[in-house]
Amino acid sequence: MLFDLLDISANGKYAKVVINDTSLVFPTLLTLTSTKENDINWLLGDSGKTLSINLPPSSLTQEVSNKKTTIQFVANILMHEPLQVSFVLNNLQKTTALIADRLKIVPPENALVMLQPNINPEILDAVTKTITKYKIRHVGITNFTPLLNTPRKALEFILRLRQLLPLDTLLYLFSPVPHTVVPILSYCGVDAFNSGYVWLATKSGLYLTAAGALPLTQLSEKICSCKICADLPISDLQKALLENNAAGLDEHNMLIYQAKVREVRYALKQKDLRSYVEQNLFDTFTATALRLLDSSWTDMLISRTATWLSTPIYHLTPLSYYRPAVQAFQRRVRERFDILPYKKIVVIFPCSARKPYSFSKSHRKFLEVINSLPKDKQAYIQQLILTSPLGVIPRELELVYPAAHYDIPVTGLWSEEEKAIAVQQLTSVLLKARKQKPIVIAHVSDEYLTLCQEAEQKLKTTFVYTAAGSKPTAFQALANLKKTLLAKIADSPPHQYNKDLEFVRALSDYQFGLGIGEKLFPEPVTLKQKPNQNIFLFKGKNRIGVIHHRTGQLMLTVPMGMALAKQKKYYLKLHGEELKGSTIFAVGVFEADPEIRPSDGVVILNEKDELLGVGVASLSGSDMVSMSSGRAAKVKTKVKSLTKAHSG
Amino acid sequence: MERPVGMFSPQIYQIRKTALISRKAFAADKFIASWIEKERLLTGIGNALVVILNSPGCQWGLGSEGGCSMCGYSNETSEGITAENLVAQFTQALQANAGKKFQSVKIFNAGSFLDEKEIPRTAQEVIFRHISEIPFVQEIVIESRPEFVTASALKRLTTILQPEQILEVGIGLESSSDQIRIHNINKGFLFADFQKAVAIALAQKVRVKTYLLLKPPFLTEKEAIADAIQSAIDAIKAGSRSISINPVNIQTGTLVSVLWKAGLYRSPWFWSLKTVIQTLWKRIAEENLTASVDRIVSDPSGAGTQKGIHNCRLCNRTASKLVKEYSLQQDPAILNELHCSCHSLWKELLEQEEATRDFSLHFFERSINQN
Ligand code: SF4
Ligand SMILES: [Zn+2]
Ligand SMILES: [Zn+2]
Repeated sequence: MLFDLLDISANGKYAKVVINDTSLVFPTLLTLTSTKENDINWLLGDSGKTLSINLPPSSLTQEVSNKKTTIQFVANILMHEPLQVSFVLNNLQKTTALIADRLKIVPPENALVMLQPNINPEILDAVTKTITKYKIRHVGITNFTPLLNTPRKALEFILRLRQLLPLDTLLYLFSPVPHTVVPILSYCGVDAFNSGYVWLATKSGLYLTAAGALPLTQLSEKICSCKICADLPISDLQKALLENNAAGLDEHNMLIYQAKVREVRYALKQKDLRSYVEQNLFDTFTATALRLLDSSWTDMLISRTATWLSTPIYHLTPLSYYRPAVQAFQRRVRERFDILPYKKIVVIFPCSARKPYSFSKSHRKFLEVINSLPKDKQAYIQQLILTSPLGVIPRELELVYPAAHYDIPVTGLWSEEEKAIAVQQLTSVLLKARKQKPIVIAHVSDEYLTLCQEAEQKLKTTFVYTAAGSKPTAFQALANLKKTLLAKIADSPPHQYNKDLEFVRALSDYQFGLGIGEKLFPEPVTLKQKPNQNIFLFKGKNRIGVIHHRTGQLMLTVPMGMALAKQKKYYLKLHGEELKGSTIFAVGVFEADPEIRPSDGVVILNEKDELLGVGVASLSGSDMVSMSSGRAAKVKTKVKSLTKAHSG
Repeated sequence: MERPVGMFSPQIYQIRKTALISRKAFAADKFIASWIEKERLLTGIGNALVVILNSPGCQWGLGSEGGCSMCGYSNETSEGITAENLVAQFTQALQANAGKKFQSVKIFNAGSFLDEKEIPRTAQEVIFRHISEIPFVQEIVIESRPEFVTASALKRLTTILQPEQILEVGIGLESSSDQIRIHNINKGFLFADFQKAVAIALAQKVRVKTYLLLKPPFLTEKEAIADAIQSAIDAIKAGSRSISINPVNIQTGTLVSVLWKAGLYRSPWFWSLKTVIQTLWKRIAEENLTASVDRIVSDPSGAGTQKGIHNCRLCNRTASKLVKEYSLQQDPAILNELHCSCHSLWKELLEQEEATRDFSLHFFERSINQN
């Protein structure tokens, strides 16, 4: 079995899998078919090629049919939730012996094991150990429907499985589920869905739409114009249904179900399944599950969510505040951003609709004020931008995903939730400068001002307000800002300011950890950028690096990699002496920094800690280690000579 | 007799133990219920007096093996019931139905009438003496596990009855498959034990009625249908001329009820019962067994409710009526009068359940029950 993970978005995987020369893309569908001999089989795959799967055995007898399907059930584990834990564990030992026996005939890459929802840690541990031990790659789930009423349990079960099983284990949900929960369940880590819901809905007289299911008898006009609906008047569809001969309705319903799965695949290809899930808040299961995911499974979600994307984020629901990308950004700002010791003034600006902020009209005005100050005094100023829901964005990080990609309706109305997030983030960032006690100038008005006042109270300090009662862009406000700034820095001695160096160091810290910027860039650098192009780093006349303008990511070079490797940050370790090809496969990775997230820059080391090259991660650090197939990283630059590159 | 113990026995025992703590107290001298019902007799349609005794209860059910996975009869039993209590209960039941005409007496005691630990020998005999004195009663039906069906126990009772009175022992075979009876049901006896009991009964001119369970836990509806049909054929071949098909009715304090609460069990559909009955008659004809069968009945308890056999909101009532009608008339074509749009959903659910082994698919019946 060849497993090629093409893209990942939280636990959602877009993968190409080749089994016995047939190639399928996941997520996909499972469909029940009957052959001429009235033999019932499962077909895996929803577009063209399919693979056959036999029917699961009874969990009591474990008797399997000896039909020759490509993927074969080897067991159906008796682990139904109401059963006694000791009984289940006991019985599992017998089943495990049986599995071991059957795997002498069925190769593990063709073997499928069926599970029942159960969140008992001991049981999950034992079951997943058996699956991993025997390298079984296909895991089925049945008896799942009661969990549609208990999203917490549903998440607990699927996410624990996704935590305990390697990422290249495929999860098949045999229980039929409505198409509306396909996006969220895919986001949780389900790889294949039973299209059986199509027929259950059809036989229940339900007409599926993208958003749900409507009773066919209630329809008075056509909603869809797929080839079935186009040909059949609505009254005929209804009649066919009443006569128990659901001609056409099943086909229409199937198209809707299929579309859902294909849209999920598309979203995964865009590496942003999250946005698609938010667009699919059609039922309480999805809404509850998403809320619970964001609050209880944050770390797991973040670790499998790309750090660097260029796609816009649309704010659709309050649930958008807690997207993993947003939480990860806030976390990195709290943990990896520091207000430099010589900063005497912190200026808080309101956000703008246009991103990056510097390109907006308002911020151009703000920056004009800053730039008009004496060059040798500008070093004293730290700019912060107050926004929802990211909270606080240091000027240096305004290009970074998702700071420059967030699109929130600017209504001037902040919800209590948004306010709380922003205040919390602002206070924790200002606390970083508690030693140097900077003067905080809040050049804000309206809601932003209220937020600053809340932060003021929390911090037990006083801010200077330079735009109160007017618009921050108003001439008077800007003049006031300039006057205040000048007054505050008047007595300070001149201070050398390398704006570009501060910028790349802050960015490096954000990417790799607090203090890393100084290690990567011990000497001054300059930045050069033309509109809508990448930003280049220069040391004197030499180009030494690039920042991707669409994502805001600083790309690693070999010299940066060497410095990073010394810090044991964002590294992965491989067996072998040199890099072959441009792909690092997970099977070769035996150690990796658990901080690594997909799309992060990484340094590639050998067993002796020598730098082999730099690249971009496709997976989280821990997935690289646990997976036995698929791509772990892409190599960007290889080191030519090993001796030069010793990092130890 | 060695009792084969099923895999769920320890858990069933636990569930039972907990349920018995809240067992309702019944007065020792009071029978639990009695009524007259229309009945398919050997000679045609007639009336039966049904008496449910308050007894110490099934010793298998109350024992350390926990009893059967669907049986909650032990909830309606009491400790310390004496022979005198039982006789008093029976005579009171007779008095309560005095003046009514019935040709059959059916005694249920939540266990085995022939087990002397449950119904002491003297009580068995006195009750039978009473019955032998009731005019017009031609049939007496009692229930027993096969291990208590012995020649001496039967002889003792048949000698009390009038020569024209027929004794029928109901045996809860549930399924003719040892695997299903032992593990899915935890019945604690083998098909061979049943066959032996039938032979003993027949030798004593005692008839046997076989109770079959429709849809033991952990079987798909399709498997359950096939199993009930096969079991009936096997029971008939063993010499049982009466068959009673009992669709599971969820009773508290049972493994089935625990599974049901977790969404992992659905009582069977009327469509399934219809399939069982109609296919069964076809098979009987095919296998030339018609002459070996007196009656195939079904008197589902809880019919039409969520706990008992049910279809959909629209057709439950009709279905119950038709099953009753069929049982009296013994004409399987009566069941063809059942029409409902839920039939095609049932068929689809059967397929899906078979292919997924998902016992929770009744979730998808919500929409048809809402409209
Ligand atoms: S079904 Fe019969 S044998 Fe089983 S426990 Fe109940 S009364 Fe006893
Ligand atoms: Zn259509
Ligand atoms: Zn119906």
